[in-house]
Amino acid sequence: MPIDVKAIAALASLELSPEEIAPLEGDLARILDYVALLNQLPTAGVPPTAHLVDNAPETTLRDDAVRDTVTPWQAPRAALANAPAQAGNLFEVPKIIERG
Amino acid sequence: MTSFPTISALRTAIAERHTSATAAAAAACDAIAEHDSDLHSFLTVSRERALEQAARIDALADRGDPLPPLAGAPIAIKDVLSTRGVRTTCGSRILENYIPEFDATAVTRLEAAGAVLIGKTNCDEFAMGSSTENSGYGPTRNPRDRERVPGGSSGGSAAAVGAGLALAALGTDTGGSIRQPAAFCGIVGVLPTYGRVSRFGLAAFASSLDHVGPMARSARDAALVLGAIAGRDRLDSTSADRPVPNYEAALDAPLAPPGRRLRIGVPREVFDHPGLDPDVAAQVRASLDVYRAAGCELVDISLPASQAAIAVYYVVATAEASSNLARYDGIRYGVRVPAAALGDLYRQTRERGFGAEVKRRILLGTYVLSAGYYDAYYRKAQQVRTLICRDFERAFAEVDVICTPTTPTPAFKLGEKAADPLELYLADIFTVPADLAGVPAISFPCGAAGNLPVGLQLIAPAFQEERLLRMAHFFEMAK
Repeated sequence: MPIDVKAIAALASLELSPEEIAPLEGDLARILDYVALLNQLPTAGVPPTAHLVDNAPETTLRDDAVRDTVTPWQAPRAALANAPAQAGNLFEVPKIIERG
Repeated sequence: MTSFPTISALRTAIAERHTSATAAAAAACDAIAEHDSDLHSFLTVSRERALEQAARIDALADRGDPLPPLAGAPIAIKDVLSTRGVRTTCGSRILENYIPEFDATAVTRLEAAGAVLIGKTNCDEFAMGSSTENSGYGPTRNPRDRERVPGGSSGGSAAAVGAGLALAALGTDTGGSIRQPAAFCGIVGVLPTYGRVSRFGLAAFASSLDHVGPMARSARDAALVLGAIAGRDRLDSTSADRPVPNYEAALDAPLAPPGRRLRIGVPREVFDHPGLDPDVAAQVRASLDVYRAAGCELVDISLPASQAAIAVYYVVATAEASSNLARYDGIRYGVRVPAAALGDLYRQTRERGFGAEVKRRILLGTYVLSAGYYDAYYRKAQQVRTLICRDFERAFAEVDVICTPTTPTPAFKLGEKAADPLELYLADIFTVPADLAGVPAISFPCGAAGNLPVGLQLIAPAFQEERLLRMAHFFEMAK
């Protein structure tokens, strides 16, 4: 079944130019054809491996305490230093709510 | 260019005042300016930071204080690792103006061990590639043959070390990105056990597979760098809470405990692989004689599920990447394409900022996670990943290490595999399984095919990096 690249791109917040779409359809179809070799291996009853470490919670969790971090309210200059647009101590974005 | 062959030799020379860290740092930065223009292994040179650190080392030496283990060593950092005040692009145009506010833990630890960071190295965009041709800043060339790729994604780090522009470098390895370029450039590269080295400050590509590790000119230097960066980090909850051995001291121990022979597994699927270059295979087989002569036993083994490793990888890694790369949206850092509506701003920023391979992988990852395909692709791949882990468990019940060629072929030419992404993916066929299983591996130069270096890969059970480094060191001494 052909892959609807435009629909997948919309899910991934990617805007593709018309020239990009056809080659991507071919590439993805070929890669997925190759990936189908997974089906040669029987996996009934095999648990999935999602990650490789099971660190105990007591070693990975910490108290929810304020520390020195790069946040707009603790260190606005540092936190905003790389922002393409800013206003005061805030990241600036286009208007997202229209007034009725 | 540093005229000192090893990290220890330079440290001793600084301690005995035959040279200074400042002179070594300045010489390293000058050499990049002079010799890197056609190689293109560096994206950014951090001269100021290097000289500040060198001055600290020289102050220690002036007082006659003991010097830390990496004192004065010019070290390069792959540009996917965050460096405070030094531009960090991840090889992507979307971050061409990004200057981090913090250091990656591996970087902090290198400096604490006395290393001098001389710059940031080129790589495939967000570490996605096997040739460094996917960099948004142009490719790096192989120092052994300028017509050829240095491998990737840590190709800039491998080329810089191979060319003598850095004594060592940090790379990252998600599917082979430390070991494959190390093999192509004739240097040593170590994939540490998953969790051995903190990933804090690494721009995440595939979090269940990403590793940070050393690239160096010898097993001893790789051991020194690994010893500096390994260990628990409270900023990375996946880092392992276990003691860090003295890797350098382990180099000179016997290969096997007294009265026991070291058993080296030779997987038949690898050596029978149709894509394996006969010269590479012959070189690796001949190299095994060094260990056989030392009393090691070669054992025929099978890793049946590893034939599907690349298929598993391109589902799991792209799925994780599609999520991890959602953060590049033009709001908090990086490049922004202005638009009147927020959704258009996101989409146009990502369209302009990402290169072709990154888009391909985001799309593939989004597809395999999408409704209706999750079980067929993502869950299935995770199950086969379990089978690959079991292959290793079974093998390591029988053998101490597994030996393969690092790559099926020596370094290929620029552009040779650019037309077909799948063909390039298959360059990682022998390196991907260790990433999927989270076990450590090393690649070191074992000879040549024509004039090109051949890498030998050894894989060990989790947290047995000492065994890998010792075997690589043994080979270097035997040659």
